Amino acid sequence: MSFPIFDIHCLFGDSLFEKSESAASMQTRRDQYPELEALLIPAKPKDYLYPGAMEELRVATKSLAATFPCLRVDPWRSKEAEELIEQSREPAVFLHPFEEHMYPTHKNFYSVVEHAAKKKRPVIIASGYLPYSHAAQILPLIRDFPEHPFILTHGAQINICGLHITEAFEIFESCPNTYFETSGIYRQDYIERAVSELGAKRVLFGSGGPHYDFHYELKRILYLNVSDSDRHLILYKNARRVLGLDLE
Amino acid sequence: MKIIDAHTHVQSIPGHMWDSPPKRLLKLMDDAGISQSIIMPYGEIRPEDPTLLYEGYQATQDHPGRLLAFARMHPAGGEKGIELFEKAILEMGFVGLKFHPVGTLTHPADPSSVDFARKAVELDVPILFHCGDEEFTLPFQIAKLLDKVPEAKVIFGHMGGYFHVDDAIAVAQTHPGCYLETSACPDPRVIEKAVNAIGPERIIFGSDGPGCLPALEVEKIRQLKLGADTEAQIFHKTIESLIHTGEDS
Repeated sequence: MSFPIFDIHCLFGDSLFEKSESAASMQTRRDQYPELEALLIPAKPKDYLYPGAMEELRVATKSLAATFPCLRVDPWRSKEAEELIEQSREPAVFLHPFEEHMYPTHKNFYSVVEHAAKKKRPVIIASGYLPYSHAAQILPLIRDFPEHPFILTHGAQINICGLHITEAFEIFESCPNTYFETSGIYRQDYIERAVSELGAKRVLFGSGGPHYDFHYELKRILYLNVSDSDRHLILYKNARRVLGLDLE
Repeated sequence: MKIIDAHTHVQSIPGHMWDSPPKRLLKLMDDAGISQSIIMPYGEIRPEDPTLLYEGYQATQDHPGRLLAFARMHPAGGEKGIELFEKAILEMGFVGLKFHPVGTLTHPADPSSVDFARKAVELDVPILFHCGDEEFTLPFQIAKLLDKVPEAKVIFGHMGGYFHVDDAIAVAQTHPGCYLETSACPDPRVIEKAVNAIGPERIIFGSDGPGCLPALEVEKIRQLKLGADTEAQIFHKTIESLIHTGEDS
């Protein structure tokens, strides 16, 4: 299939949690989708150390066409995290409260976001994971950085009976500095509501791979009842704009 | 290919995102090529207010051959609730029982749930449980009901949700009365894993429509390229083995 796609949420490299995307799997996917671009985020490495994982990722993205590395840091190692952000040239910073076992209200988490804000790097937060990143737990942080862009994965909720949807959507409604990422969202009408009420410019395609299936996640977008121009924004243009890649 | 959707919702909630009148579902069924759907409301039915039972009944009467229904009962309904459930099956044409422990805050193996399960066995109908990541809905919690009523046919709706599919498969491997239903679980690959682990004879297609898009849920199965026989088993044969669809299968 040939149409432009930007996957803003793809975990890459050997993972502590066994599921991994590799250079080979990314190349295979690009053979299937020649216009695919992707932001690659280090999976949680087996040694728990992100500086090494970042080095490997930077090397990998140089050899993989149309891929961009995303900086991932561990807020528990705050000095290291702040230094990585200071030195970083990556277009975004990724934080996973659940995998790091840190609440978004923790002072270290705030410190990392402050540094990202100073560097004008959008922050991607793995959202919706109890007990660390429920929408209600993220909201205070987002409100304290009203000018800074945040991309919230899974539409800020992961719950298969819809319990989290109301509070998740409140974040997007009340904080215009937020962006709605689509991976793993089981209700199509939730994504369509985001397009309708927030505007397509705030909805971004992410596969959430390898935890979610790229092909099926793409179909979520292809099956949306939206205009072709909105679909193009969601699938491609928004990610490049939010990450500042169109300025390069 | 014939497709029966074993998990859908019909309930009128005007003005709400979840408003699900029959016409909304029927349109999505047509789009997805689904011939029959089993409907249930979003709320629980208690004997003192059977409104939702009659709303479902009316939908099945208005759309014969297309809509079947499970009675979504609150286990706390007690003896009167069980009488109402029995009436739903024997007199109103309902084909199963639905429990959603998030709505009822009742453990799957609570004595009140067990009483309903024993009645379901007596009436020869299956029980569909919401089976996901929330308290009282975990696969190993629902397994405790199967331990108490091993002859029950219990369908694990969503087959464990986001984080508990492996648990659902493990329960199915040790409990022959456990069936896994495919709706909403976000990754098609886990369905293939379940098919390989327990066989398609205990896998049931469901969409959880209209919120989840039935056409996309159908595609989730088709994407796996399991072959025509396996698809037929998942799309209609397994659920036909558990309920009376009103058609010759």
